[in-house]
Amino acid sequence: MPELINANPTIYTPSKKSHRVITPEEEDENIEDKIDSREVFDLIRSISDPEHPLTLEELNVTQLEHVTVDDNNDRIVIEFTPTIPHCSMATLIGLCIRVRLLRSLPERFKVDINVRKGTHQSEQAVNKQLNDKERVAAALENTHLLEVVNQCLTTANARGNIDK
Amino acid sequence: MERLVRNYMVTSNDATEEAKSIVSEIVSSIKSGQATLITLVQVLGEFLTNEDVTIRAKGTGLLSAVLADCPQEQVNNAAINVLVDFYCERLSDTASVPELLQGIESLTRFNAFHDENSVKVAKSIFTSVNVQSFQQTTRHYVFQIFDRLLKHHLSALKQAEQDFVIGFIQVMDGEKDPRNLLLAFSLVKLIIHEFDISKRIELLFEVTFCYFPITFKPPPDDPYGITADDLKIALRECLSATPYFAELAMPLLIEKLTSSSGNAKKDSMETLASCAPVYGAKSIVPHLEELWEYLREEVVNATDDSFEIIALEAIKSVVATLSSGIINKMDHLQQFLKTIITECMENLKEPELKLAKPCGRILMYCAMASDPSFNIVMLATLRVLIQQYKESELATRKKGILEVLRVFITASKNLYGSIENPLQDLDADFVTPLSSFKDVYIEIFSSALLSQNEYNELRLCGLLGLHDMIFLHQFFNDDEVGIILQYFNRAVLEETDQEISNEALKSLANIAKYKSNIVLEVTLPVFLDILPYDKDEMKIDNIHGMNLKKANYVKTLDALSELAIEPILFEAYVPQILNKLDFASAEIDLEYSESLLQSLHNLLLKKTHHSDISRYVDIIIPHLLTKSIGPSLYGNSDIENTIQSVFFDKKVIKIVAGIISVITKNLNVSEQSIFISQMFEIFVKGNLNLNYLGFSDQEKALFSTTFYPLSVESSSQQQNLTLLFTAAVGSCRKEVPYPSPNISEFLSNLVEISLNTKNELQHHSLAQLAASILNKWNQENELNQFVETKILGELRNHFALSSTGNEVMRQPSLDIFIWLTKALILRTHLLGYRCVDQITSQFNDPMLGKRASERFEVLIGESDLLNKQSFAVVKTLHKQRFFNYCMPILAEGFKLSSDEVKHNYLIALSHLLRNIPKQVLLSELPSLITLLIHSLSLPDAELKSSTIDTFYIISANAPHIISEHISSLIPLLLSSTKGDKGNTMRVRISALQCLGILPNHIPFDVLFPFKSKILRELSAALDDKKRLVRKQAVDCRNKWFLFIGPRTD
Repeated sequence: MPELINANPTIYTPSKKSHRVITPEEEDENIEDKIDSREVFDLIRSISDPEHPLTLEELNVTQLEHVTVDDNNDRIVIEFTPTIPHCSMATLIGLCIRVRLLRSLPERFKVDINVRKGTHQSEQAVNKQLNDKERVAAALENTHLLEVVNQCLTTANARGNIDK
Repeated sequence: MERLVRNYMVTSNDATEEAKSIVSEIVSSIKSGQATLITLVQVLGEFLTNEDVTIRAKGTGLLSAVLADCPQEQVNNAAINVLVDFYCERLSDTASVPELLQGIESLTRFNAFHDENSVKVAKSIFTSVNVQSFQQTTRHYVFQIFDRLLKHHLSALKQAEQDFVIGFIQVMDGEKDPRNLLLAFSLVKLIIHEFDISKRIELLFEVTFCYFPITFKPPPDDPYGITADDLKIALRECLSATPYFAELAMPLLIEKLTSSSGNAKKDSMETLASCAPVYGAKSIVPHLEELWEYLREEVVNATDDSFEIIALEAIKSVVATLSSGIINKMDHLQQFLKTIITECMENLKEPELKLAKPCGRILMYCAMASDPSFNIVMLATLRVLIQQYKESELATRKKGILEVLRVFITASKNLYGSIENPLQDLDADFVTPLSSFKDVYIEIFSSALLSQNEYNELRLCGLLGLHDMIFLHQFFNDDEVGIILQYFNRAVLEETDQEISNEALKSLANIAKYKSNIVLEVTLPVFLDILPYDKDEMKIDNIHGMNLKKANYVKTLDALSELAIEPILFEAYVPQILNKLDFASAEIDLEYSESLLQSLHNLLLKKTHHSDISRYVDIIIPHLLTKSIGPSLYGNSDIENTIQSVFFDKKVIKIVAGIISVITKNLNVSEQSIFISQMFEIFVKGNLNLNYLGFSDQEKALFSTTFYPLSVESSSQQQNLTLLFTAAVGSCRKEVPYPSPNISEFLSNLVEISLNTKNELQHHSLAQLAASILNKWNQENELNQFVETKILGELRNHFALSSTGNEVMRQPSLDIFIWLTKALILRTHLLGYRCVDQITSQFNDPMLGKRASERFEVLIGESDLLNKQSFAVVKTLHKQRFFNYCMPILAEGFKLSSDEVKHNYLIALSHLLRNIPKQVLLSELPSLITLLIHSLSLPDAELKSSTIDTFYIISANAPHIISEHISSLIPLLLSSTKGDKGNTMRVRISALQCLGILPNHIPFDVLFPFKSKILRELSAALDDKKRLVRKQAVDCRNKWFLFIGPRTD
């Protein structure tokens, strides 16, 4: 097995309170449910980390507070926190989030994905890559990379449910 | 005989019908005594010695086939000797060997086959037959023969053993067929146990270990019913059968541990775990270092839980093996554990990090292995961990350590037993070594739970630890348990955090099962006290506002319905609840009364396996009856609203009916008989003077009307009480006699009232009661007559169009008719199907068509009165019978009807499909599929979603049928995901679920052409206005993105 970049990361137990409970409004045919930050967070929280069989939420890479959604103006901003500042996986993690949202959100949204300020050495470079359409598309042409991304996304449907 | 033999000899092959019938003819003539085996052999003589090998083989085949079916008594000792000699001598005739072995296999089954024969057979096979040169079926005979020999003639073989072991090794060497191997492995295990193998260890080992690790994959249609696991376990049992294998096996097993194949690794670890105790400490000691290295890797880097557990089990087995050595061998145990503990403790210095959890688990499994290991691990780690806990400030760190401390509680439960799961061979006064840390454990875990505003996970961990400790054998005394229960009480009642209060309640409920007396003393009174039962209390609570009060009692009552299940707890609960109900109903507090009754009902439902319920027929039921009946008699019906009562509420009455029903079901026949006669007295005769009810004279003086709930004229409050009567009578066993002299008349009466009443509740309740009585009626003649004249006659005339009946009566009469039909269908009574014809014939009626088809749900769906729990007669195959009867009618009717009426047929069909077993559905699919696809194009949402659900089932179980219709199905499903009118949430969700399951079952090449279309069209569903639909859309769409076909590697 190749040397891991961060072999022994800190693990956070996701609070079980953070689960969405289905409300009567959600079951009512006539009420429109807006897309909110929790819904978007649910989409990305259970993406697997490329290095460990742990989710981005368990590693505190993604947090509900760092997802901003404005459904009326079609804007979403997501910030994520790499486990260590020199983490070379940051771009890959960002790419996974990007792909997951491309597949799961209506096209009308403009989504920004950024490393949280001050948490990574090459913050700017990573951000630039993740928010450049052409670069993202080019990265996904690489079948090996796409396979890795798909692998990380297989757990995403769990939406934070503990027993996956 | 000669004719038969000659006919046989000219058949083309022995599997033909003709050949088989000749064999059975010969067998039956032998059975009847017309012929004997000897005559057969004589007639066969010329063929058996013929120069042509095929003729010899064929002749032998006939003899063997006859032997296979030949009755025991036809073959005596002398005959068997002759036959065995004959067969054994011929074994060198290679061409006839398959037929000969078949014959020998049959011979071993005869009682006359004795020890000497067995020795001879074994020897002949060893010397004359090169087993592995024959095909599988022939080899299978050989293993079956040895199976018989070893199981029935073991001692003879052992005595006469020239070299049985070596012979058998040759027989199995090179075997590849899974069926044969499974048998062979079990024989090897037997041989290892029974024979002296000391000189043949290496050969025996080679011939078995060569199969390790098993890589067998059953062929797709699984013709043998043998799994890889069957073989793995059988082989493992061979390898772990003798310590002789240790020296040879250990290096190889360790080598396989490092294998890159997950399967090999897993198998090696499991095999190692079962072999270690047999091989003993001596054989493991040289390999300890490597073992630890590999197994640790597996635990720490495990990618899935099953691997981790297997590795941990292997570690545990190694530690246990080391522990069982003689005293001075304990050094190895000490040493080994020291390495492990040092490494784990190093990682536990930062317990919030990833490696802490696996290290904690390693310590747990080491501790669990044996008493000495438990002590060693505990003494080496606990003090340090406790110190570390006390010094940490960080909540996540504290939680990490607490998890590890909790591991020792689990280990102790496993090793030394618990209250739920006591160990047989342990002294009653044995105390777990963990007891020396009891005080500090209580302190740490309690303070973790009780600390407010703390990290939730830490508090939960404290709670779970305390719960587990209560279950340790001989750990706490009752006072200590009492103190902890108080903590739990507070957590349930006062805690604002839902998770903690739920977990505390779960713990209390669990403890109540084993420590009922302490819960009775410490918990129950506290909970019951919270429920208000006088005006003052209500007033005080009013200060906090009604909502708070209500939230409080609802929560407390919910908790009580988890806690008061055990008989002594229930006994204390009942009088208090009835008391509070008196108060609540006097105050006309509807919500409170409802909650109290609901709690009682929930509890009773949980107690169905307890025998104490039956007592309450004389406590709970009369109390509730008096309460419900009384108010319906005060004042006259014209001014009925002047006297209010909570028991006028339909919901309340339904709960009371539920309570009566549970209790009744738990009575035996004689108890039910007594109870039912009282119920008839009250409800049919209106006698309220019974002692059973206990109305006081004072109350009776207030009654201003008579009690006659089953009447069309009574007040609606009284009529509602019909529900209580139905609950009682409908829950009786069918042996219980009704106190009514003439059932037919009684039934007609019920039907009549049900038909004429304006009270919806009474109508429905009586229809069900009549159905229940009809279903349990055991007088076949009377029943037939009743059905013919009353149901198919009078009742039918009410709704059939041709008659000049009253329009108003049509629907109620159809409804009752359907219930009665159900009663007959459940017992697969023939007349029931005639009734069904009457129902389907209404499908094209403009007024009743829709109703009739929708009511198929009643006909085949589950009912809460007509079911097995209520002792209804329910034949196992009634659903299939009903389905088989209806299917052709529905399919035919569909074809011949106009579009509007077609719809009704599809509705009926959808109810049918929803309720029949899957197998029945699948067997009828071909005739159904066009109907189903048609249903998808109709706008009816209910029909659509239920049809989609059917397609969902079909996808998983008959994918080939979906594949055939895929091009019409996918567009229909896609259009059902659109938010247009007619596609309700349920339709959209079902359609998305169905689209999402297709990639799991339908072949890639069939489905792939639709991929881009589906991905494109689903993007609209991602913006559905309902969140629940969006969720399914996301899941479905991502599933299709990941649908990239079989991997090329």
